[in-house]
Amino acid sequence: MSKRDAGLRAILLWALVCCAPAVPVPEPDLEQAEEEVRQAVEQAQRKVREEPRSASAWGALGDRYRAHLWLREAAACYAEAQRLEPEKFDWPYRRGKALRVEDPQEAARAFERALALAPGEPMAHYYLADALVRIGEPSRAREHYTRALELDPALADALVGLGQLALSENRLEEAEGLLRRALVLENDHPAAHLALAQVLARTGRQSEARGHADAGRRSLRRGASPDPRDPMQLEPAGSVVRSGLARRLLREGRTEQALQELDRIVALHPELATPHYLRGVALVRLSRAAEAEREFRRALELDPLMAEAHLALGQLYLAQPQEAARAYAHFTAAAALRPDEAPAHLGRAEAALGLQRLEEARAALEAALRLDPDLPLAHYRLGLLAAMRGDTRAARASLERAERLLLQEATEASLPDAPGEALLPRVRRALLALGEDSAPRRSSRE
Amino acid sequence: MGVLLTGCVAAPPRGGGASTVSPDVESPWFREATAEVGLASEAEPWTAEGEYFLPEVTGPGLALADLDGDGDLDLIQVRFPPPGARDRPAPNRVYVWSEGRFHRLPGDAGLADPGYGQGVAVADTDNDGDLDVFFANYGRDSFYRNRGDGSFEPFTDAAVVGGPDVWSSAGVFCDYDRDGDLDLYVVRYLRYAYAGHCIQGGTIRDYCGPSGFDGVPDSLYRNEGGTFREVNAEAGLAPPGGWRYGKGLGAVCLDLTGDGWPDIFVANDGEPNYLWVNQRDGTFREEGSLRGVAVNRHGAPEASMGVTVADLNDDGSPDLYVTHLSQENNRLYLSQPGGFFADASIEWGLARYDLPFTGFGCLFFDADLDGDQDLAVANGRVYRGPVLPGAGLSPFWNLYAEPDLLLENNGQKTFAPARLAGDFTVPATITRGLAWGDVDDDGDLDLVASTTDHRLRFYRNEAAPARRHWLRVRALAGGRDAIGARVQVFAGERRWTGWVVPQQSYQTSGDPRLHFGLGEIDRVGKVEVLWPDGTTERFPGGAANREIVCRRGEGA
Repeated sequence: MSKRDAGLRAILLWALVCCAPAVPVPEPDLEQAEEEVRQAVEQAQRKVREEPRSASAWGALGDRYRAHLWLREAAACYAEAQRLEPEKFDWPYRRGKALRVEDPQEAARAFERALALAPGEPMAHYYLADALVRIGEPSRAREHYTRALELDPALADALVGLGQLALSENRLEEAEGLLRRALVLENDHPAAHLALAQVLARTGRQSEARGHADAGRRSLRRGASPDPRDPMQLEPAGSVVRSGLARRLLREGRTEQALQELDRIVALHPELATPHYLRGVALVRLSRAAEAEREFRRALELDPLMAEAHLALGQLYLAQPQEAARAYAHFTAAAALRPDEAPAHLGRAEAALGLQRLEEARAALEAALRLDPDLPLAHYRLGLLAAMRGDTRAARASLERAERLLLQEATEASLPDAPGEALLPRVRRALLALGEDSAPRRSSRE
Repeated sequence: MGVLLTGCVAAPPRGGGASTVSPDVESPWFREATAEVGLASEAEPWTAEGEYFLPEVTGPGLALADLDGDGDLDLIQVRFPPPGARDRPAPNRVYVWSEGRFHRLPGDAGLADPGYGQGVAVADTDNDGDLDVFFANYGRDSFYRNRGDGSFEPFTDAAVVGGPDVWSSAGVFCDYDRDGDLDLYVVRYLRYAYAGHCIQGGTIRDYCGPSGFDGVPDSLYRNEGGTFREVNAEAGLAPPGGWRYGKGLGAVCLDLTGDGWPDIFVANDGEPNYLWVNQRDGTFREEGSLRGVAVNRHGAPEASMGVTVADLNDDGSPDLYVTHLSQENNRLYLSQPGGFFADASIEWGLARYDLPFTGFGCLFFDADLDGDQDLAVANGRVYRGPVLPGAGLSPFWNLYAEPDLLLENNGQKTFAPARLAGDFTVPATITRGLAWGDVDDDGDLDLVASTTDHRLRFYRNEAAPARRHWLRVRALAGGRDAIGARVQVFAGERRWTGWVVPQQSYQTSGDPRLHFGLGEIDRVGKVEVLWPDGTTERFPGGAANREIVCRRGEGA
């Protein structure tokens, strides 16, 4: 073959590879999508059509689809990005994440590919292990959880995964050790608490088991930890994505940004109650109480059974002594709607105290403590009520309990009717007024 | 002709006796015979667009029970108003079986309850030898007493029917306090008032999920000589501090911890499941998280809906199978020593097949009489998805239709889709209730399914080759079915275990008689019954292919 022929063949080959027709752009059904979503999706699709050999354009479209849970379409985009940019870790990694629940077998293959490119990524080892558990390969899963931990010893999720594997194989002692280590790293890890509860129950330690079961169930509502290799920080579109983002921003204390997102959701869907409620929460934090009140009221007009909105209105009115009756009405409604929520009963008690309805306050405090026995404010109020009745013994017991709880707490509790005033000095003053020192302080002096 | 045994009456089936099953060749397991048995003309498919009123996609259930005491299985169809016409009552219906067909009864035997129906539970609650009926409704529940002739009258016991005006999803009867009469556990779902549609993941208008609504407390009603009283507080049924109320959709009541006392498992939607463990003093303690049935193996709660029980690992203890939303595997919680459970969905091969589907009704049963438990799962979405092959509903409802699943136990501790499922897995529908029963009395178990659009489907079992055998056992205590009893059948080295749990699956009440496939074994050695009161009796076995009636106090 001549040099010229060889050159021509090379050019031909290049043309075949580089100018090969791109795969069809996956197109989910946008017929009922919100306008904002449609625009965002169509923009990302346009970018891909304009630059069909741009891996980042395909990846961005994959991200957009994944944000709206079009996971199969997202995976197809990441696959094309991976074909165009085979050395980049992100594409198989994100493909694996898109498929990890729906198709764990394929997800495992994607994570393996990602790890071939970046063997030192702990999260990829973790997700591969998770996929392997889902497809019934516990031995390989154990290897990858272990590797994830070697690379990131603070990865509690990997310890929990190992603990759960040990539990499922009845190696209870090993499971206990792993799960306790995970809880040292993340003390509100729900899966760690729940698995440890099972280990303890199986080994006859029922009381401790119950404590972990309770802690696990209380922690279930915490948000997922952010993934540093998959930030997904694309400009949101659509009420669902914005709603998730707004909740996260509120959780992280980024109230102004949350409010911006919520404004857009309310504009898109004024008929939905929850965005109004969340907007109210943000406005309270920004000390815009009058606007917050309007939002909570609007939420209740749209959904009269929204206990959270009643609770929030109760809190707003509780801060205004002349509004104690309205506070009481809203806390009462919240407690009726959600009788298993201690804050509703506690709020009702506070409002009843404001109205001098002492017996009702006492009943509500007792209801709150039945649900959550560790409420220092409730014990403090019960102590004062007992003192007013002349029951010094009961008063002292309640106040001492409040003091013990406050000493255990890392943060200082304050009073709803006197924001900023710490509760602990008040408890101590009340105890002194009873004429006797309290047990915890006696022991601390000793 | 029946043969009188010690304490047991045995009778062959009226459909033909032994070996009435199909010839000794492999044939499809189920053939749809809905029209053939007289149910097709009652189909009432929705044509309206949904208005996204949530209760219209969560129900309804059905009941297969001998309402008129003639030995056949009759049918109660639970109904609710169609989409867009919530105020138009759609009373429940009753069909009795005679001469190989279902016949709708004029006046529906008095059971034409106009409530917004969801679930149904059937049992003899006053120990008079006939069956009474409880309807779990969105709104007030209702209760009907059998007059003794197969017709019913409303039972206006305030404690049950005058209960909270909330959303009940199912009722479960069992004698939790062992006082000889059946108590009632009512599973409740959400505090829900219609507030329009929700926006789901793909940003489309759709039904709301449960997360935006509060759960409501379930209720335990103690039977006090024929009347019922709610005993939640004294039975300790409040969730522990800091927990929200569950969002219950399904439940079973039987001894799950091995101490002989009935416990209650509640399948909660999106919240940890409950396992109320009987403390043997009239109270319960919640131990779902401790015993391994509250969440999945990853520690996450799932959208639990239906539940069924069987002894898959042959340890004499019940295993639980719970259906879930798509993208969440249905779960097999396999019993472990000491009354604990382990998520074994993957190990038993079940996780491979159900992931794309939203499961509701579910039943373990021996479809092909080969001696092990197979599994039927009723599917149908609650959120929109692509239209699947076999979807023959209206354009709106096709977006929610899915095929049902039939999984065959291969006897090696794994399941796989039945190779010859037949018609059961063909249509894509929105199935909710699912019941088994030997409706045509030919010795194998037929399936009846209910769908959200008020269609009923009847699948005739044609699975088993002729050489396979079976035994049906009816356990009676005090003149009624011994709900909660454990029945074990022994033949040589083999042992089969079943429980009298008519209320399982999803919002469904089934035949209280137990049906054991024996494979090629044609005689059994003995039948042992662990009665709900904790006593055990043994009854003689004998030839297969018949029904044995075991009465408490008449065994050895």
